Amino acid sequence: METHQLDSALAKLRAALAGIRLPLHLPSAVAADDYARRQLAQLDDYILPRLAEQNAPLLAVVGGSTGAGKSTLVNSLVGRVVSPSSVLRPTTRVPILVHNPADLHWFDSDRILPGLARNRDEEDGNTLRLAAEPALPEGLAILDAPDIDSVVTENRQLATQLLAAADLWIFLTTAVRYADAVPWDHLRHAAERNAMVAVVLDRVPATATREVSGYLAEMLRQRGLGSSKLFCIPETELDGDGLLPPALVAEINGWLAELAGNAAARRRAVAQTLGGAIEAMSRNVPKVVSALNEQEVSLASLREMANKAYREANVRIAEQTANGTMLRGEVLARWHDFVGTGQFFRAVEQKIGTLRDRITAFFSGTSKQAVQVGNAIEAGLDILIRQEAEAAAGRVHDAWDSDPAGREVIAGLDWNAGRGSAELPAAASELVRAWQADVLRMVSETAVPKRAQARYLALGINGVGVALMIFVFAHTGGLLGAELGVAGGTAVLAQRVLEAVFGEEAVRQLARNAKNNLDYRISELLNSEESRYDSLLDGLEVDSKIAVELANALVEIERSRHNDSRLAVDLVSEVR
Amino acid sequence: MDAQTTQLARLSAHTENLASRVQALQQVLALVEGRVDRTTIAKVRDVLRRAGQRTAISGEKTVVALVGPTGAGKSSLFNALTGKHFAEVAVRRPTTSEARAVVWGEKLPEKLLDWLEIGKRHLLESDDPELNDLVLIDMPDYDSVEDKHRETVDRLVKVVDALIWVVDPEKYADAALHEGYLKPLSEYAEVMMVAFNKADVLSEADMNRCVRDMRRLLNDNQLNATRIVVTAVAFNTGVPSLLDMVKRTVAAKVAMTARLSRDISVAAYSIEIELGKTTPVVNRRQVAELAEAVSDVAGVGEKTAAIEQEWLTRGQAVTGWPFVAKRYRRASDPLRRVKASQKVQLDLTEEEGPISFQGAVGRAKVKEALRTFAERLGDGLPSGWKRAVSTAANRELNQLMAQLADIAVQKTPPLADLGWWNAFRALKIVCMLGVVFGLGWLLASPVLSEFGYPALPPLTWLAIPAPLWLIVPGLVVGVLSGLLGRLLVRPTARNQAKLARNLLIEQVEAVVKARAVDPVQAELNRIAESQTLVRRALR
Repeated sequence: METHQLDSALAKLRAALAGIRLPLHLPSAVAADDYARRQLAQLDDYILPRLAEQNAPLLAVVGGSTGAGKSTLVNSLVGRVVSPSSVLRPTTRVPILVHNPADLHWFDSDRILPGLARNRDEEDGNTLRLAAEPALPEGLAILDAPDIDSVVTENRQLATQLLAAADLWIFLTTAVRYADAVPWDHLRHAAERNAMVAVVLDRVPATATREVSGYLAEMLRQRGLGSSKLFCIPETELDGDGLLPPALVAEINGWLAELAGNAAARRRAVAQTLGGAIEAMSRNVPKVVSALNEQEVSLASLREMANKAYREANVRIAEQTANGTMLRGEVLARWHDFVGTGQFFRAVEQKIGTLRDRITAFFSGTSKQAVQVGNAIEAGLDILIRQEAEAAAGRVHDAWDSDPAGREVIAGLDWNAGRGSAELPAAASELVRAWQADVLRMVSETAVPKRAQARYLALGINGVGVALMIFVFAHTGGLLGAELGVAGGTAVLAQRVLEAVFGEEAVRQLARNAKNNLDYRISELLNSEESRYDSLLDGLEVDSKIAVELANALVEIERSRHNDSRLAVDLVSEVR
Repeated sequence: MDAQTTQLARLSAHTENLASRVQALQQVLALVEGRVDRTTIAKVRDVLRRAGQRTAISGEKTVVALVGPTGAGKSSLFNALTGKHFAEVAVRRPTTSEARAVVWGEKLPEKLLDWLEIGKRHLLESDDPELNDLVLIDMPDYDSVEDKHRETVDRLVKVVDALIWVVDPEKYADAALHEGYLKPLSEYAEVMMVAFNKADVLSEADMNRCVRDMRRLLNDNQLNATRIVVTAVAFNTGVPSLLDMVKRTVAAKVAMTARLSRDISVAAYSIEIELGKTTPVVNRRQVAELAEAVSDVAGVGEKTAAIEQEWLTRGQAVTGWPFVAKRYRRASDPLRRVKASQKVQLDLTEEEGPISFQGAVGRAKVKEALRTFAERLGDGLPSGWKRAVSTAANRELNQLMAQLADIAVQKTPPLADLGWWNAFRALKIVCMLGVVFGLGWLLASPVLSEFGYPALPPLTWLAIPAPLWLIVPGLVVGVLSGLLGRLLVRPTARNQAKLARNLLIEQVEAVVKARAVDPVQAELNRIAESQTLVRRALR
C-alpha cells in the first residue's frame, strides 16, 4: 500500500518536472532549469526503475578524472580488454556497461537509462555499449563512464548523468589528481545524496602509499564520506594487454563479489543510495519551486512596468484635455478667428436677447472658420496623444532595459520597443476624427428648444460642435488660478453660446458625455499600444499549476518515503 | 629566427607607443562615461591602472610565471630552472600554496614583488648575464579543492609578463585549463609557452601523440603562436631549451611591453565595439527641417499671415482711390490681436515653465520634432549613444520653448512706404486736384453770374468744355491707377510676408541650433573623438 503511495508521488513529481519551463532569464533560472533536467533524468534513469525492480543487479559506475585510468581499471576488474584505453585524452566517449550474460535482460531494455540507445558494437553519440562478461558475478554490473572533467562538454554531462544513475560509485582518482576541485565537486554531491561510494586511488608511488592514502582518507572524512571504502593501487607496469596485475585489483574484486553475492548487502546498498537520492531530491526541488515563483514575480513586475507607463500616459492625456492647456496656440487662434475679437466679448456680456442677433451676426457665414477650429483641435489632440503614447513606449523600454529579464525579452525584436506602434499615427488621427464625429452626432441628436432653433441654425452644427469641444477642454477638469484668465474666458464664451442653444443642464450632460467618449477612446488606443508588450510576455507565462504540483508531490513523497520498506537501510531483509 | 622571436621583435617597435596609447585610452574613458556599458568601463579602467603601475614600478624586469594544475610538476620544473631546491616537491596535493619568486641579479626588486604581492622571495647570484632582470615565479595550482590557490593564480595571471603553462600527460586536456584559462587568454598567445612535463612516463611515440593532441587543443583556441616544449625534469630533458626560451624573452626586453600592449588592445577593442564604425553628421537640411517643424510653436505661420495682411491693407490705402479704398489705420494692426492673445498666455506661470505658451500641444510638437531629429541621427549608433543623442536633444527643452515664445511675441518693425507707392500717391493727388479744379470751374460760372459778375469765358476744346477735360480724365486715371495699385500691392505683400517669414525662420533656426542642434553635435563630436582615440589606442 505504502509503496504505491511513494511510486505515485514520484510519478507526479516527474510529470511536474517534465512540464517545467523557465523562460525568463533570471539568475535563478539557469541553475533551476539545469537541476530540473538532471533530476528528471535521474528519475527516469535510476529512481523509478530501481524502485520498480529491487532485484535488478547492482550497477556500479566507475567515474573519475580524465586520464585517471578508468578504462584500465574496468578492464582489469573484468580480466580482459572490454574498454579501450589510450594516452590521448579524453578516451572513453561511449560508456560501456559490463554485465554477466545471465543479467542481460535487465539492461537490454529501456528499463534504466532510457535516453541512451543500446549498442553492442559501434561507437556513436548517445549510446550505451553492453558487454557480456561471464567472469563478472551475477547481480553486479560495471559501467565505465566518460571523464568528469573532460574538455568535451557532452562527456562531462554524460558522466554526471551516469553517476546519478549509480547504485554504487566507484570513484577513481590518482596520486596526482586526488586534490583536484572537479572530482571533489562530484564527491560532495555524492555525500549530499548519501550515495554509496568507493574511492580508488590509482598510480600511487610505492614510497608514498601511506602518506597519500592517509591524507585522502582524512579529506574524505572531512567531507562527510568517512564511511566510504578506500582502495589503493600502486604505480605499476601494465601487462601486454594494458591490464593491471590481478593481485592489485583482487581486493576490489573481492569486495564487489561479496556485495554481488550477498542479497542483503546488495539491498542495503540500494536502499542507501536510493533513499539518499530521494531525500536529496526533496531538499533540492523546493529551489525549483522558488525559481518558478521568481519567474512569476518577475513577469508580473514586467507587466506592471508596461502597465504603469501607459497608465501614466492615460492620466496625462486626460489631464491635458481638461485643464485648459489644449486652449492655446493654434486652437485658440482659430477659435478667436471664429468668434471674432473684442466685439464678441462685449456681446456676451449683454442680455441674451440681443445676444441672439449678435451671435447670428458673428457666426453667420463663418462655418468655414468653425471647420478650421475643428481642424486645429484635431491636429493638436492628435499630436498630444501620439506624443504621450511615444513617451510611454520609451518609458517601458527604459524600465525593461534596466531589468535583466526585461532586457532579454526586448533583445532582438524586429520592432523598436522604445517607440509607438507603426499604426499609432493612423490610429491617433482616426481616434480624433471619430471623436469629433461623435461630438457632432451628440450635438445633432440633442433636442433644441423651439426658441433656440434660429440660434442653432445660425451657428451651424459645426459651430456648436467646436464650441462644445472647447468647453470640454476647459471645463471638466476644473481650472485653477491664472489658467482661468485665458482658458476660462474662452470657455465661458463657449459655455454661454451652448447654454443659449441647449440650456444649462443639457450642456453639462453633453460635455460629460463628450469627455467620457474621448477618455474611453484614448484608453482603448493606449491599451492596444500596451498590448504589444503584454503579448511579448504572454509567451513567457509560467504554468503556476506546476509549482503547486511540485510542492504537493514533495509533501506526498515526504509522507510516504519514511514508511517505505524499500528504502529501509537496516534490517528487514537481513532479518529475513 | 623562430616565429615567436619575430613576433616579439615586431612588438618591440611599439614600446615607445605604449605611453601614448595608454593616454589615448584614458581620454576615451572620460569621453564614453555613461554611454558605454559600465562593466566594460570598469574593466578598461582596471587594465589602465595595472599598466600604469607596472610601467612605473619596474620597466626593465621581466616577470615569467610557471602555472599549472596540481601535480603537473611546476615546482620540480621551477627547481630545475633555478638549479636550486626552493620549492617543496611532495606527493601531498595540493603542494605549493603560496607563490614564490626567484630573481637573478644583485638586488631584489622589492617594489615590483610588493606589487605582485609575492612574499617568498629569493635572490640568486647570476653567473649568466642573460638571466639578469628575470623574475621567475612558481605559482600554486588552479584546479585543487583550495579556492585560495585559484584566487592567487587568477590575480597573477592578469599581471605577469609571460606565462609558462606546465601540464602533464594526465591533465593536459582538462576543461579547467582550456576552458578556464587558455581560451580567455587567446589574445596573449605570443607571451605564453607550454611545458609538457613528465615526458618520461610515456613512450616517445605516445608522448608525440599527446603533444600533437595538445597542439590541436591550443590551435582550437587560436593559440597557434604558443610554443610547446616537452620536458622531463628527472632526466633534465627539455629544461635547457625551456630556459633558453625564457632567456630570449628576457633579452628581447619586450615581454612586458607585449603583454601590456595586448592588454591595451583588448581593452580598446572592448570599447571600440561599443562605439560603432560611423559618425553621423548634422547637415543643414536637418536643421532646416527641425526649425520648420517647430516654427508654428514660434507663431511663424500666424505672424506671416498677419504681416501679409498688413502690407495689403496699407498698400491699398496708399495707392487706392481715396473715395473707394479703405482707410488704413495703424491702430487696427492685425498683428495686435495675435500678440495680445499670446501675451496673456506668456504672463501665466506654471510649474512646467513655458508650457503655458502654446499649451501642451506646442510642447508635444516640439518634442516630436526633436525625437525625429535625434532618431535620424542616432540611427546606426549603439544603443548607449542613441540614448545619449536623444537626451542631448531634449536637455534644453524648457529654454527652447521659452525662446520660441520670445520669437512669437516680439514686435515686428512698422512697415515703411515703398517708392513706387509715392508715384501712385503723386498721381492720385494730381488727379484729385484736376477733379476738384474742374468741378470748381464748372460751379464758378453760375455762381459768378448770380452775383452779377461776368461769366468766365467758355473755354472748349474739341467742342467739349474745359472743366470736363479736367474732371473726366482725373476720375478715370484715378480709378484706374487705384485698381492697378491694388493689383500691384498683392505680390508686394506676398513678397514682404516671405521676407518676414525668412527672417523669422532664421531666428527659429538660431534658437533651435543653440538649444538642440549644438548639444547633439557635441555628443556626435564625442563619438568621433572617441573613435579617433580608440584607433590610436588600438595601434
